[in-house]
Amino acid sequence: MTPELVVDNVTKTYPNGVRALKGVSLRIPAGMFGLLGPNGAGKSTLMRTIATLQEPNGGSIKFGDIDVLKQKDAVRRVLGYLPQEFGLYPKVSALELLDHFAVLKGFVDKRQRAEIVNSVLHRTNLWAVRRQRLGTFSGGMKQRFGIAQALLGSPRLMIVDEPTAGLDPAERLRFHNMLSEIGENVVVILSTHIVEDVSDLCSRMAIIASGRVLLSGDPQSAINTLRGRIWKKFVARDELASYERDLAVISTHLVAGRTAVHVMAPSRPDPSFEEVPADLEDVYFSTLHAADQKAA
Amino acid sequence: MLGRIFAFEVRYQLRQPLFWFAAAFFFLLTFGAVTTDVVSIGGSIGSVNRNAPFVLMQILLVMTVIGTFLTTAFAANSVYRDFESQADAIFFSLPLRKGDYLFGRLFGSLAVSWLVYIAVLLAVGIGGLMPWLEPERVGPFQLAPYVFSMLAFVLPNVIITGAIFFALATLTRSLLYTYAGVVVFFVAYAISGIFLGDLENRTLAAIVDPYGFGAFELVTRYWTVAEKNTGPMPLRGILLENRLLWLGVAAAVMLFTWVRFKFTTAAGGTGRRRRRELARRRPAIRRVHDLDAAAAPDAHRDDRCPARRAVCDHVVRRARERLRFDLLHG
Repeated sequence: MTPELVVDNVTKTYPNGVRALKGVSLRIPAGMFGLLGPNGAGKSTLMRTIATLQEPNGGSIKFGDIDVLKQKDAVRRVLGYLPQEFGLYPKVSALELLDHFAVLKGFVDKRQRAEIVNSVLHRTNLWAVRRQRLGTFSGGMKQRFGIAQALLGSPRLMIVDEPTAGLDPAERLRFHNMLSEIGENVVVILSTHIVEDVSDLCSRMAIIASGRVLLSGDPQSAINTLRGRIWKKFVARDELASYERDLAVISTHLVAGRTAVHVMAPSRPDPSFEEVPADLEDVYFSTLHAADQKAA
Repeated sequence: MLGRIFAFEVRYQLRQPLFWFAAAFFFLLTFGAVTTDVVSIGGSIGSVNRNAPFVLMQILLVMTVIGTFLTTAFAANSVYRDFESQADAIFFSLPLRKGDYLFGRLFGSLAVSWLVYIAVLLAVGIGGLMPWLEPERVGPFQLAPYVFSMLAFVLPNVIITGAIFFALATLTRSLLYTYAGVVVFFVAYAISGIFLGDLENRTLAAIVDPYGFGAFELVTRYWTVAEKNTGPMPLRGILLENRLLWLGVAAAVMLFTWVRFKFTTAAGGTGRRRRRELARRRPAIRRVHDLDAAAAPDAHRDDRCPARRAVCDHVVRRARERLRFDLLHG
């Protein structure tokens, strides 16, 4: 039985005065948990804090019996972490560095280590290029290497911070498949600003912005609350401002060069709007919109 | 675990071109000094044998002073490269002990720095065999002075300077501060040499010289040519005191580094990383809220940091050029 991760009222203010986390509380059970939010929402701060790399100013984080903020070594023994931005040693081969990481994770026995390393190389589809220098890796390969090192030693807590940023669609799909194969008994936290990452992969999610949790739950019931309340219309660019003033415009899209707006309203604003089925993106933008309205 | 980190570090550093360039440079410089009159290291040697133990020790001492830049390059890089390459987040979230990580890296890089000086020994050894040398100026090959110099001069000097600049690089996480530290160290060394140059201060000067140069000069001051040609100096008296004092300082610096170092990734770095990433990402469709949220917290930093970074980059580049210059010109 994998314990759940409980984040309770965590706050963080950076020395430069930026309040990155303003009392974040979350319960994260085993399975894939999506942490969705715009850039600068505090996602990475939260991820780094859970990954024992940064101290919060207040609050507590528990993973089962482990006090994440105090028993860092115990956390690191069960942790797999893919940082948002990371680098590698360009002149070292994938195999060599992965082997070194495995040593540092405590796999001292040579044969056992080779098995573990080979298994993650196969799982991340890097076997064929294992002897290549890391400096020659493409963005997608590097990201897969990042997951490979995180998977070493079957972690029970995985933190995957913005893994798909910068990947092309094919790589992203491959990456999604890889993530979906991680066991169901592992707590996996996937932070992202890309809605599809969450809708494709996650059974539970939270939306975070400006250091606060705006919504948490399962994606489908969040979508259900918006049923019949999302309306779409193509508008001219110069009309956009007036629509934004008069209606709850939650998002604007370009579709083949034309601007489409999504409006949230209990009933059709006027006959020129058509009803569209709500999706997770509407949940995301309506949540952010509501938070903006409250702040304004 | 320390041993494994040490071994990885040695393998990693031996693969760097710096090691081979430095070894080749040290070899050529020493070879030139031993076999020609064009190059001289550490002053004229008069009628002493070209490959005398005294000459060997003197050359090695001078080389360890120049080599401070080299040792700094290796030792500073050993942990700093994790910040520079942004591999720190991965390493620091591993179940590592601080001491294993720090000292495995430090000792590995020091071992590699130390190995570079083998090139000096080879140059003296091989130089002594060159056919154009006057036979009466070449003594027989002796192993003892080589071993003595490598253990009593080179090893402590590498440890002392390495520990100090490793501490600077690891705790400040900045190459700029580290190389500025090297410069300050040299200035202080030169000034103390001037102030302590007169006769009554000579013992004090010998004690506080971190390279052991003062102690070496004090002991060999009245050596005859025969003594210079035959023996290594005994490791006792002022030389031993000097070595123990500075190894003690090095140990204290290492302890300080160990106490102060934390497995945390710099929070200040995220703004820069974030911006660089945003610049790279350039999404095809930008969403209204994404833009608002992204622009607000970063806007005030955008106009200030590039200039500062450019200045830093420039100074660091200059420091690196300086390093190369010093290596090439002695």
